[in-house]
Amino acid sequence: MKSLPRFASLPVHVDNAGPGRVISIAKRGEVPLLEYRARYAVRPEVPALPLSAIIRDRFVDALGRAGVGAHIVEAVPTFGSVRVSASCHAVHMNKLLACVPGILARPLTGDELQSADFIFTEHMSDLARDEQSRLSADLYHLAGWGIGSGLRIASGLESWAGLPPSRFLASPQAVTVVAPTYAELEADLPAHLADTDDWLPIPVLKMTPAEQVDCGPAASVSLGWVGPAWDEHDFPAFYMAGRLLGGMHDSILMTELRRREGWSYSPWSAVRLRPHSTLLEVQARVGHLHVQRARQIIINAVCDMASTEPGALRTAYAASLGQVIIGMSSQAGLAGTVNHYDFLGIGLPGLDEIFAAASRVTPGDLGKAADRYLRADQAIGPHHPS
Amino acid sequence: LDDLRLGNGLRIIVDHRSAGGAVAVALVVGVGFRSETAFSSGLAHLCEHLSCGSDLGTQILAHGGFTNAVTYSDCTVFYSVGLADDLSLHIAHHQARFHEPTITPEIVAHEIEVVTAEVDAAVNGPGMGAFPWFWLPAATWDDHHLGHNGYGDTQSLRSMSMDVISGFWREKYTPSNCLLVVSGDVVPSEVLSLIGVPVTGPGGMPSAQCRPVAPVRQSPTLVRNAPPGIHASAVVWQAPDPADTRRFAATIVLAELMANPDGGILDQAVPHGREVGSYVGIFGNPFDVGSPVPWVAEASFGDPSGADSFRQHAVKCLVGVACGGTVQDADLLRVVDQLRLSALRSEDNLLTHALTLGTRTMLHHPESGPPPLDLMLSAVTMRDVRDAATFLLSQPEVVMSYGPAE
Repeated sequence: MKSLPRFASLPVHVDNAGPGRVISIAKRGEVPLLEYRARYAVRPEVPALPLSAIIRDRFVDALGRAGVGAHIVEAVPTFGSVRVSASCHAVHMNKLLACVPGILARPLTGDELQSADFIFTEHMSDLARDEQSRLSADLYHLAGWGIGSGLRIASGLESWAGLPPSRFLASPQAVTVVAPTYAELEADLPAHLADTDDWLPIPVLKMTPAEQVDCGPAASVSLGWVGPAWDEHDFPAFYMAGRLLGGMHDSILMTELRRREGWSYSPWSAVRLRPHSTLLEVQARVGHLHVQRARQIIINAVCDMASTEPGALRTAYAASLGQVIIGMSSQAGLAGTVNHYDFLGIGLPGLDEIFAAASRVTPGDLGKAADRYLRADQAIGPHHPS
Repeated sequence: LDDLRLGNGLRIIVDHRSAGGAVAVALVVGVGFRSETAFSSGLAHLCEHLSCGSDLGTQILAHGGFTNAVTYSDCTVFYSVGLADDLSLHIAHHQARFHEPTITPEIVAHEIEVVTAEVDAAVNGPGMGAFPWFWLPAATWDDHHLGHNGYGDTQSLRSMSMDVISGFWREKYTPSNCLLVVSGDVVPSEVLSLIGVPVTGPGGMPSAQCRPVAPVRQSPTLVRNAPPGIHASAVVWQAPDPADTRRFAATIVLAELMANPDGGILDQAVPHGREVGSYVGIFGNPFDVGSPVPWVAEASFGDPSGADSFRQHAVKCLVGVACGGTVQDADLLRVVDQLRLSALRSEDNLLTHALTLGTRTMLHHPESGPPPLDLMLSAVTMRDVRDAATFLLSQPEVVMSYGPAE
């Protein structure tokens, strides 16, 4: 068993800028690179995808006007929020940080809305061709995680077209900056967080049973189970169930569907987190002939968590911990991870607590969590080829 | 960097850097597609597969790490990333490459099946992505060792004797033909202690192992068959020797100036809506191939006549750059800054950094190790870019058309 991590001891300075808002600054390494990450909460009625296009365009425009010579900016919609990543040479650090506050301070213009509309349509077109992304988007929608990614509602654009531009403003929840050790900040970052309400909704769960839907030549099984929030008692066991099921190379799904049955090359599962909710997502590509049996194998495996060997739990824990540590080995990875856990309200100390609790999970705990959250009648799933 | 030579001939570079408790290891073996003769096509890749079966790799995965391998034109790289606490596991995992794998007809037959599936998925199938990179060497060079199909022919692979396969492995997989890069939260003494072989001196090779420069093929447009729906053209020149750092960096910048999302010279020259690309190296990476290195302009269209039209566009663009006036100072600054940022992000990623450091040292700068790419790029001037275009135009170009069979 690996020793317990101490993420809280990482050289990350955390400043609470207000309720629900966090700013983190970390300095590590000598690579002259600035990594900026921010999470913007989006009003629940607003599709996050087109808003992310507007945010990206504004960032690029602001950085160009500020004279930041080269930069990479990405804005990605995720579960009713927008995740912004910006990188530039460290010499531009203070220029970049100085132009951030104004980016979302003005209402949207008609041109921006039109431009976002085009981008939105193209994104949706791509999404419609990408079966796995489409299944995930519909699963998040079924789980009540907002319409930002939900294909069925979002593709209609009704909610998008009918909203006044002022409703599209987003609220920064967490900002993270990782810079090389020698870099000196000239400004106080907390000033960059907007003084607006916390719009992030607590989702209303809609427990829609799995449907049987034809989905073209490539058959996929997609299933989900809504779980406890990260600060609830059963969360560590629920999290470990997700890891054991399909979160590593010798997971239950890899063993059952790939090695034993030979039906699927890379079945996987992941525990998705939002501030107030979690979702166990499972996907496996299988031939049409095997869809129903594969689905039953997945459900059986989920419901049979109590029979897990303690050794398998220890392996899953070590793999999970290792992935987080390795993911934080770069300045970019550190920025992304810190920002993600700040946005969720977990923070690095909370991450230590989660891993400490996960290290103590027993097969009995898995069984209790499965009884509560992972029953067959609790499965949700958007598409299952008949 | 600590760059050392061990008693068994292995060169080792220990690159200590702050990495949050992680370590990346790359073992670069001096064998690739270009090491093969007419009778051993595909052996380098097959030997990579045969050398991957270690239980230690499973342990690395079980601790959240990752390990894999890839065969390039002039080297084969085995790599892993994981926790610094597991350094001994990673070192043992890579040292195991020096133990001859079990080579039996059954094991070889199984691996040939795996290789066939891999080639079908990644080369013959949609994964190839419509661009003819796999055929570029064959289109570019007449010499067998430079231009043959490095994945080999399944039939000829199956007909090889176990002695031939073992002999190839024994000749190439020796410590003195390898470079081990260890990067991350490690100290050299710990790494050396784990390897357990004494240091005999500095790591640099006494002289660069550059291959003789072979002129590109001088032939009319070469036509290759492609799956339905795929059309592509490529025009290939030979890039300058990577050891000439300044000129080589200028050709990388030139490729970016020709085609990039913000409106490259070639993007603007071809008909609207046609996708073009421009890069240095066989797989689009200037650092995974030794000299001779191709410089490529490619387009997502082109029957044979379309390919020739694309060649004319590409030549015209290069002539424009060589004569000055096509590239503005602001364009050059923007592109150099973008490439430098991309280089920094690559350096920030521990595994990518170890891989690039290893391949650049092995293939381009065996004596003293590679200069930082960020600095190489920042030194490129407008005059260097013009000279690079002139250098390319001073050689014959190869034109390739890739489309559905008649």
